[in-house]
Amino acid sequence: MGAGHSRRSRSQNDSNDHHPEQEPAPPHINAVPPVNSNYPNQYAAQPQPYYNQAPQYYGGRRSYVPNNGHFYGGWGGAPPTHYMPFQPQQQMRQQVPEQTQRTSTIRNDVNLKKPTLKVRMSQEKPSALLVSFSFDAAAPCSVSVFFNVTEDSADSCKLTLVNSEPAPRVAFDKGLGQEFVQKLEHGLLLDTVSPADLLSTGPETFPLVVRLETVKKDATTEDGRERELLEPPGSPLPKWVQAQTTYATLTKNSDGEYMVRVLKQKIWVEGVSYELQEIYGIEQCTSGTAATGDDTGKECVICMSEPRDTTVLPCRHMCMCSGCARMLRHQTNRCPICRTAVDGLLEIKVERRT
Amino acid sequence: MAANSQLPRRIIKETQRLLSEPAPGISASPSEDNLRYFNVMILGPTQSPYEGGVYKLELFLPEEYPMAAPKVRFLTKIYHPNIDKLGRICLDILKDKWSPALQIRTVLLSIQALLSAPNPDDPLAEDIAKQWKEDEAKAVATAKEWTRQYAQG
Repeated sequence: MGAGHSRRSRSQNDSNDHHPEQEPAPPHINAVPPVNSNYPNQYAAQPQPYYNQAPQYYGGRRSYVPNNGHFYGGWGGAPPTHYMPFQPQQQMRQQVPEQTQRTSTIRNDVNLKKPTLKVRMSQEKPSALLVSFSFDAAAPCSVSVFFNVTEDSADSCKLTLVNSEPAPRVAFDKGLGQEFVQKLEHGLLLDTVSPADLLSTGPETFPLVVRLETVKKDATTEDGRERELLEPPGSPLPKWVQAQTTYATLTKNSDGEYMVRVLKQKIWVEGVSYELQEIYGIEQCTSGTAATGDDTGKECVICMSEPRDTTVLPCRHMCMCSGCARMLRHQTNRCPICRTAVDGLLEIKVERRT
Repeated sequence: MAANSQLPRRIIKETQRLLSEPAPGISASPSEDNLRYFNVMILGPTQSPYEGGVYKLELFLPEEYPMAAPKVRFLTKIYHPNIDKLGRICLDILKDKWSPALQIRTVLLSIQALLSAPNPDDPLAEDIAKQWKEDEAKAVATAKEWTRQYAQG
């Protein structure tokens, strides 16, 4: 309690000199059950608390600062991905109620589609567990799979296997909807591990981790050579790598088969790690156009006129336009959808592709 | 229509949708001289003591709507533990549980549901609630009788 309080005081007094590595991960990340799981692949991200970076939120007491950030509209037909600027929770709770944060958008080149991550027994060798999933890559990328691995988030998300060598990376070209199926020799031999290790996680230990990595375009060394991924797989991530890491545990179903449960996903961009979070209701806002006439579901629930662009925190219900959101904060402290106490507002501008 | 032009877009939209896609067993139409005042009709839900009844209600959208709940009142006499003899309704979403994400349609659906599920533990009409708890069969019989007597449209 005492430590928590002193942290809070310091961040209040000295917010630009904030040291997020001492902050716990925002506990609300996993505290909110998905209200509606029909909104896949839309996320807000919160950077993990292990790097020094001044908070980049906008806005003031009553001011409403227009966002000058760059917004990225997504690649191919894939939905755009939105990220929230770093905002330690302790600060968020102290903010004046009517403050609205603005988002900046960063580009994520590799994305493992969470629902597709599966394990199955090898048909040739029933004691081997093989991982498969589908993913999108906007650039050539490499896939590496780790079983029973420990992450050192303070060391650029370095992944260390407990008692074995990592399997080599598998290279892919760029492309949407690619399939990864693990080779038998790299699968997990069940007779070499204890089932307890596969079914439980520690704070930084996970039964299954999948990392997609891509070297940033034009990343060269001082003497002009192209950058490469560091060996071995799981090495601390350098700045010139853009990565997405999926952390999962295994469960056993009633037939005794192993199933995957994804715990979280993080992306690594420009040397900063962000945790991906879904925003409920964003999909209707970004799909379709106003011209189709049927605008229920993407209009603000309050004025029923403006498009939704503001997400309520911490519950992440994207249900209002920014104007109504500000008005609401003068009237009530509850989310219109779930009545959870409002911590803050997050405005997300979506740039439509024409 | 002067009153119409000052009406918030939300109310206009809600009204249009209520008229074009009415909820089953519910009709609501705005009064000609006050577009914030609605004449409402709710059919008694099947398998409830109010089955076969036609209930008239009035619904008014206050100036603060949707930040404040609509004001709704039964005009037809009804024997229900959560509705008093003035037609006032004891329903949380009309009071402290109001949310601006709710609408006229959802409010009326909630009232329809309240007819299917009387809640004598949170009474507005104390005497009816008491009757309901002491002898539910008799209370239901009385509700049916009132439906036949007062709620035939």
